[in-house]
Amino acid sequence: MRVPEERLRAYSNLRRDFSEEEFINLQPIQRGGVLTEEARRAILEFGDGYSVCDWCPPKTARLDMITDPPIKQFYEDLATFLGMGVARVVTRCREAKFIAFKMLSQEGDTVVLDSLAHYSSYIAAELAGLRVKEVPNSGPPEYRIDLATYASKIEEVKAETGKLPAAVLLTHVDYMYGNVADAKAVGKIANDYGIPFILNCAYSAGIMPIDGKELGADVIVSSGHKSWAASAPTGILALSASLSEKILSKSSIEGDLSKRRFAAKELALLGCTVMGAPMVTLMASFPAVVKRVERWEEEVQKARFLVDELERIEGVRQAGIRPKAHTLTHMETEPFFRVSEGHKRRGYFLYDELRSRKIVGIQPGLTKHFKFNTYGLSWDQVRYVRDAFHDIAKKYQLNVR
Amino acid sequence: MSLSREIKEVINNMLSADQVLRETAPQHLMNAEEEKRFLDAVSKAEDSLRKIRGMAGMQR
Repeated sequence: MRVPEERLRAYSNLRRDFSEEEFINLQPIQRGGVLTEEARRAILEFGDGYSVCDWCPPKTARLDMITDPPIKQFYEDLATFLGMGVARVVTRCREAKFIAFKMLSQEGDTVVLDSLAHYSSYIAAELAGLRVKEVPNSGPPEYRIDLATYASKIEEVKAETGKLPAAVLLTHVDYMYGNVADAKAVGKIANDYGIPFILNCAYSAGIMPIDGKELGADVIVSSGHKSWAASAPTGILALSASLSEKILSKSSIEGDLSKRRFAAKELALLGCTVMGAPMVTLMASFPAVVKRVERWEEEVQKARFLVDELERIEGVRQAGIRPKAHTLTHMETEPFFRVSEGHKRRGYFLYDELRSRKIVGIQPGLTKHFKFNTYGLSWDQVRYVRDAFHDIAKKYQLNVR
Repeated sequence: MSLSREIKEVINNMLSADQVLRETAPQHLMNAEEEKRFLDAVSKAEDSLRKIRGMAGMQR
């Protein structure tokens, strides 16, 4: 079948509207994935499909065995950096969760997870054939996960099913409020019960220091394109040495006619995972990532500064735990909503005003509440954002204290 | 160095210049250090372009 030329023209000269060179992008899921200069250079070098496979060792033809480029070393360094025994790169954080769920459970088992978990945690559990038992949060204004309840939820599962949960999952930093949960406390509860503890570090590992051993994590999952200055799709699956054999068990299937076997391949990974450009961006950014986590406190200071400055607009209030311990921030902005009710562009006025000031990333149409992320912005850029919000507030006669 | 490698040098140096723009967006108000990084990168890219012109000429 032929595809018409005019349709094919849509794929030439692909350009992004919001380049980092022109706009300040506050998109909550994008800040930690902005590439380093080294990563952008690496794309130029390794953009071709199987380019990392030039020197794939014939004896053990497997991604994690490649030494040029140094993927083997990278996996080792990645595990060390996260305080874990073994690391693998998979396509996405959700895939890492699915792999852990699948390999640690039997059909019909239960996973205990926090009620602020990302939807992909639920879907990964569903695909793995698991039920979920949720740990509640306190609701407004803090939405704090009641961590001690993990123990009672584990007991509930035991009472209902006669079995302990297959795994306990905690979202280290939630996507909605940017609350940082005390992973060590949940790790202790899970370890006391002997239940594998999966820590979802999609919004933490790669931007803030994480030591899986100290936190008692058996599995750490993370997202390269969210928090490791890497292109999508890149997910991280890091395992304690004790669980790695189980989760990374090898294929045992055999062809009934050919008798072919694939005993070197890691079953749950379906063999090799991320080849080419996404993998090399993750690797190329790694030295910068190792350094940048040490500057985490300053990143938090920028977020707190902006929260304080936005709260100078009367009626504006940060949601979630205070003071901020993460750069992902949720603001309740009733005054902007009131403005939107009388504006011809309605809820889109705020987006328009910000965009005209070269700021994007606040979801178009939202004025009552919105999220942003200041991670990686310079102080000058943070102050620029502050000035823009104050300017807009004053333009619409809102009181800025 | 091959033509292709030299062309990558141009792009890599322009990526360095671009990096400064990213860090100073949206106003591009550069301090002295940022301006030096920007101009050095552009200058290196220009050197590579000159080499490319020479190399291309030799191959004709």
